[in-house]
Amino acid sequence: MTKGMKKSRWKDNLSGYLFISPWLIGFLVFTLIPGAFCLFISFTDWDMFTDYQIVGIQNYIDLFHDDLFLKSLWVTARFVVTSVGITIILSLALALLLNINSKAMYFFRTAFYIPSVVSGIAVALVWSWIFSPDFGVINYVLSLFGISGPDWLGNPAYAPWAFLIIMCTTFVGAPMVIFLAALQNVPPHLYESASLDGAGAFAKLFYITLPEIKPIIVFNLITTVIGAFRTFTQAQTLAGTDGNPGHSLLFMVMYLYKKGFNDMKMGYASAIAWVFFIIVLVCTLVIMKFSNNNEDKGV
Amino acid sequence: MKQKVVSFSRLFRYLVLIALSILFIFPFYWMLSTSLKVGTDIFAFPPKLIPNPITFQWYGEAWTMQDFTLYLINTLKIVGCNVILAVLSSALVAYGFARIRFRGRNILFVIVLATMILPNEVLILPQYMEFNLLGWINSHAALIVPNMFGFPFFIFLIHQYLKGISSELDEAATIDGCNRLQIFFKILLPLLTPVLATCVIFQFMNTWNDYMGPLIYLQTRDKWTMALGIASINSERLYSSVNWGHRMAMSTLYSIPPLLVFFFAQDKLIGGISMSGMKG
Repeated sequence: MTKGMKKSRWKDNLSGYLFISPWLIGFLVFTLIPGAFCLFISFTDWDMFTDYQIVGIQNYIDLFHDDLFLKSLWVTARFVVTSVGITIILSLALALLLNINSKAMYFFRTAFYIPSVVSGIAVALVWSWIFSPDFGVINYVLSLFGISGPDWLGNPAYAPWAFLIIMCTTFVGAPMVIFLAALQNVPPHLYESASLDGAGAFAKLFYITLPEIKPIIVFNLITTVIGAFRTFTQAQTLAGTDGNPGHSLLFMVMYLYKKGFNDMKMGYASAIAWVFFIIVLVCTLVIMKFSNNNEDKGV
Repeated sequence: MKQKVVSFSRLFRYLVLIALSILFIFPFYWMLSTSLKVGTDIFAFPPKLIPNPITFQWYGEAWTMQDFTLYLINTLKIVGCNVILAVLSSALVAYGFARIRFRGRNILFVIVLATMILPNEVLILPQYMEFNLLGWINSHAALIVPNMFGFPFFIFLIHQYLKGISSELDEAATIDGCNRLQIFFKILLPLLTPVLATCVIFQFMNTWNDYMGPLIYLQTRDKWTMALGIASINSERLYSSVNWGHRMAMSTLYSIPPLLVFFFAQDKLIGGISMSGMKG
């Protein structure tokens, strides 16, 4: 009996690992080993062609004296904060507006999700046409009010804000759909008893809806933050590798790409990759920690 | 009195929704509209909302100026392989995690979930060097082979779905003498169709729209995908009506497949996204 059990346990282990082996191999070969290798070459001056030398933490020191890197850090940070703020508030507001039983809601849900399914290149191209200084629709509409609009994507003072609008329309879809599903799961009797107590719409929102969907807010916050950090396709299409005008659209991933694939400074670019990874990781952990702390204090 | 308040808030709700939905849809209408305008109308001021007369000139020109037929074939090849390989491998892995008790299962599954939030951009450099060693630069293998090893997000989705299917079926089949592979292919795979369809749609969208991957790995035009062809029209940086006609025409064509898939399989896609949030 024990022998049979041992044998079946052994067999389960074997077949379990056989079934998950695709993922396990992929994780080792395409994630863990490259990640470790990336860490190693971030301490070298490798350029892919000649021999490398170990330079210690020199790449990391250089990074923080590299004006372009610091610029990309600032561009990315400002974009993450603004786009995530707008996206979360707008997607929650849309979900609240859409959370009624009506056929029309399907139409609007589809409309708000459309920018999320179209490729980033197409989105970037059409918006650059809409924002174009002389023949763009936006400046035409402004001219109706007697305002002469700027060269939105050609002027470093305006480009980040025009880009923010473009990206928020593509970011909103997924969190909106997730919020909508969460809102439909809030037990209706909570609202009914609140109504009996005389609670108004805002009281219901702040004392029932938001606490009930808090885990979903945290989830959307994390996925949107990560998505914003990963910004590449639209910015690269609109602003080229240098993030012009005036590097105002030079995102961290673009600088990583530029240093690695244009300048072939693999050691330096790997250091950027690791700094990028650590920043994203810390942001994620801070959001998680912060949301857990609140949970302990509340109720 | 009460009635009036309700209808006012309803009106307000619809006005806000209509205004915002115009902001979200208009760019794509404008893309289509511009692509159908004759050269002199593209730069017309004030802009013409409806193209009249209509021309398909830009579509034909842009399609033949570069070999877009080849780009389309390349794109379809990569998309087709990726969809099949990624979804099938994810289903196998999800089955392993959901149905077999083995040592280290829980910790490994936590790693799967943790890698869901890992931004792939972190790994583009070392992966490039790795694929360089393997001789995969300027070959579609670099964009296809890494998809054979299961996607954490799909593994998670299918795992959750499998948890909802009673394992009595598996046990009955075991008694009938089926081995695990037979159970997986003959019994579970058909039952998984809804969640597999969701994964297929996600993978289709991601691969079809992918720009960074082809940009890094595909160098010569005979290997290019649609995304690179359109980016190349853009990089000419000509500010002419002809160039805008070409850009908008190819952007329109490039956007049609994901939009069609979205319109016809909306519930699958949105169901999958909602489910991802339910993890919390």
